[in-house]
Amino acid sequence: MTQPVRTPARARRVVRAALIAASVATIGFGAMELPGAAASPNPADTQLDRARTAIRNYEFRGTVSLWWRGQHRGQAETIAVVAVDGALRVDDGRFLAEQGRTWMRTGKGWTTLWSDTRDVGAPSAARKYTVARHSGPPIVDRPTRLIVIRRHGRTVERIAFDRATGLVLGRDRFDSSGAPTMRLRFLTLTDLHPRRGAINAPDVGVNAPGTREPVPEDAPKSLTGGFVLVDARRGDDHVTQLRYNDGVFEASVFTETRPLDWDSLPAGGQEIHYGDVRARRYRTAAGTVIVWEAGNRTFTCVTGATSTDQVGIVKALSRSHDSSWDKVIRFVTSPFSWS
Amino acid sequence: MTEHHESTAETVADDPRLSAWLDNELAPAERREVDELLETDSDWSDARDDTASVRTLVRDLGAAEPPVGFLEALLTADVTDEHGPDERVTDLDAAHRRRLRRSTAAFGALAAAAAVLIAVIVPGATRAQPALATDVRVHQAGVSSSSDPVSALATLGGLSRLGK
Repeated sequence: MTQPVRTPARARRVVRAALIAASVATIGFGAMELPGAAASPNPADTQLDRARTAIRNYEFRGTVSLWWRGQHRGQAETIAVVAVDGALRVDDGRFLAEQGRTWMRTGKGWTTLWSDTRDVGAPSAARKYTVARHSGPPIVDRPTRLIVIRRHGRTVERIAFDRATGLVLGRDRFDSSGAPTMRLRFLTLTDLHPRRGAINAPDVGVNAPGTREPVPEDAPKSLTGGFVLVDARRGDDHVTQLRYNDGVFEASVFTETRPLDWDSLPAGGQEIHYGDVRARRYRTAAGTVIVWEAGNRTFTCVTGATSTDQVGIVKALSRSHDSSWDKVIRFVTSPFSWS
Repeated sequence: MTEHHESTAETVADDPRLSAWLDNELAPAERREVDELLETDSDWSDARDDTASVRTLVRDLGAAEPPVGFLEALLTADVTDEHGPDERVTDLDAAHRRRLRRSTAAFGALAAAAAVLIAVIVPGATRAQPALATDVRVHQAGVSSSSDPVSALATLGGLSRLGK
């Protein structure tokens, strides 16, 4: 049997076929590594993408009213927002966001809060939620489109987008009980026009937090409630930030491999127990902050997700880091504990 | 009935036989007796080591040159005036032993104080003190990069009660 003669044209076809096969395989493996990545965009994601683009493409001045459920009662604030030269300035310029990066003004300089703008590939909202699109009420005399996100028939989030520009003009967040936890509305919106200039953004420090890091091997890749680990970042000091996402809400879990100094926690938190896990909870406009210790590690979870999801996150992480060996060590050392 | 004396390194250090043993001034029988004690009694061996180290320390100080006229004044001085004839002569060995004991006690007290200090400070240094306000800001900044920046950053007010 004779071997086929490889002419240059035939060789090129073979190489091309091999490259195509390799590309297909690469895409396939890539998809396998990111099981949470959205298969198709949902209306909420599409609209939020448009809202971010609107910040870059429009300039405006506005004020927003903010209400949130505090520790014991509702709290309210009015905040100034200005978009100019492709950047957003919030709270009288205290916070500056541009192209996914964020800085906070400290004294005469800027502290980088976030510097990595790469997409982390959050899972599709459709995996857990139902997303519906409606015609919304006018806000600051502008017609809106409303995205309503529900879970088990209950609304967990409602976002009103400006029909003309795509800006988010209103946002409501609800707890699993249906009670509102946060409400944001534009009160004024003036000088709205296409962007004119470009900002000269502050420098990003070499040691700025937010730099992407390899995911720790012992970090749970998924949590109760459909949260998928999408990212690991370096925080301040020796803190690792694990980012979980369920398609709508994000949960940041900051971990330190040492036990918690309970006395260092600020006043005003609420002592709660998730099963046998002791935790301290704080309610803020940005979401709920829960601090606890498990397996000689300290966890701080920040999330806008519902109370039900918070319980699932705390329990799942505590179980995964409270090994039998940790329990033995804790049993032996507990008589000497200072807490 | 034999009388029993409990010996410690300190009482042994005061035993004149030890000093004589170190100076090689004991009679053969006495020397054998002390040799046996040094081998069988740790208080004796401890006292020997302590005394020997102090002696070495003192010898290493070297000879001091007396000031001009000191010897002459010493030889012509009337020992009965000022302090009287019963003025006690200081035993240098005993003085050094007392000094050694005081140093040991001071070192022990210092070590105990350091242990207490470490016990108080270390829990704070080895335990996590989360910066909750910073964590919230970093979280919302990340949310801002993948969601709506206005609603993500507008909610960062009122975090001062969370500390740093």
